[in-house]
Amino acid sequence: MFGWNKRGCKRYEVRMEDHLGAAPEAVESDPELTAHLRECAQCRESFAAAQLSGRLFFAAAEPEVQPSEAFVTRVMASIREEQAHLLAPPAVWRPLEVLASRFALVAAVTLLALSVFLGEIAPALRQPDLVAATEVAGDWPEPPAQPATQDEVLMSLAEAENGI
Amino acid sequence: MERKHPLADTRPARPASNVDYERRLVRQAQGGDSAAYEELVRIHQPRLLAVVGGILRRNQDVEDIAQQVLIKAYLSLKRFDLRSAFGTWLYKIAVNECWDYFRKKKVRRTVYEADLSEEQLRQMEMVPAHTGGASRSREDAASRAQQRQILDRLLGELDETDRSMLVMKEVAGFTVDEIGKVFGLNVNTVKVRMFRARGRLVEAYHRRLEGRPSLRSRNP
Repeated sequence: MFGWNKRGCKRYEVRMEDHLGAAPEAVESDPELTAHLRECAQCRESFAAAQLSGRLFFAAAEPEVQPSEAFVTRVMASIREEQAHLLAPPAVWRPLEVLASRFALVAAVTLLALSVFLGEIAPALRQPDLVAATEVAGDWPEPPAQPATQDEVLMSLAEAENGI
Repeated sequence: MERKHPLADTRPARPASNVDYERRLVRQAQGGDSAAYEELVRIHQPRLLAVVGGILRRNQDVEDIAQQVLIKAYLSLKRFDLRSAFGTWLYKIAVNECWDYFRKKKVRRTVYEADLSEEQLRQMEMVPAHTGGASRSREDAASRAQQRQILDRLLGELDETDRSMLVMKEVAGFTVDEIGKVFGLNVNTVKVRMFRARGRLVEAYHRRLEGRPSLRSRNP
C-alpha cells in the first residue's frame, strides 16, 4: 500500500522535484540521484507518486484563458465606480440626509393635507353650525320692544309702577 | 492587425525587460494614470484568471474574484513600494482573496460528494505526462471537465498553501522562484513543500481507488 508518511529521503526531495516531468535520460544525468533511486524503494515510490501528480494535472488541464477586452473594460468601470464611491460625502452624514429628506416629505404631505382641510372640508363643516345657531336663537322669547319716543317711555314707567 | 490602445502614445515604449516596463506602468498608475493600470490589467489578466480559476475551480465566480483582486490592487497601489515585481504582489493578493472567498462562503473544499467511478480515476492515470496540448482533441473537452472535477476533489484534501502552490506551478505555469516570492519562502522550501503536497495528492487518489468495491474485490 502507498504510504506517504514514510517520506522520501529529505536530501533528495528537492532534486526529485527538479527532475519531475523530465525525460528518464535527464534523471540519469544525475548519477547520484539515479543511484539513490535504485537503492531506496521509498524514494522510488515517492518519485513515481510525484510524477503521477503531474499526469493528474495534465489530464485536467484547463483550456488556456484568452485575454478578453470585455473583462478589462469591466474592471476599469468598477474601479471608476469604486473611486466615485470613495469621493462621495462621508457615510456618517448619509443617515441624516435620509432623515432630512423623509422629514421634508412628511412636512409637505402634512401641509398639503392641512390646506385641503382648511380650503374644502372646514367650510363645509362650519355651515351646519350656523343653521343650528339660527334654530336655537328662534326658540327664545322675543325681548320687549324698546320705547321709541318719550311718551312711550313714560307709559312704560307708569305700567311698571302699577304692576301691569 | 494589432489593435492600437487609445492612449498608446502616453504609454512608455515596451523595453526589452517586461519588469522595467511594468515598473514604469506602476509608477504612472501610482501617479493617477488609470490607462497605465489598464495596461497592467491587460498584461496580467490571463495568468490571474488561471490562478484564481485553478484555486476556486468555480467558473461563475472566477471573473468576479479576479475583478475584486484588480480593484483591491488599484486602490492600494500607492502603498506598493516596488520592492517586488507587480505580478508577485498582485498574485499574493489573488491567493489571499481566494481563501477569503472560501472562508466567507464557508465552502467546504471537499464538498463534491458525488462518487467517482473507477474508470474516471483510472483515465487520469493513463494520460501520458508530456503529450502536446494540441494533440488533445476537442472530444476530450467533456472528459477533461470531468477530470478537472476529480482533481478538484483531490486538491480539496490539501491545505491552502500547498494547494495554491501546486495550482500556480501546474495550472498557471509559475516558476518555483516566482512561487517562492509570492509566499515569501525560499526556493528549496517551495520545492520540498510541493514535492510532499504531490505525495499527499496522490495518496488521496489512491485512497479513492482503494475505496472502490470493484477494485477491492480484484486486489484483496
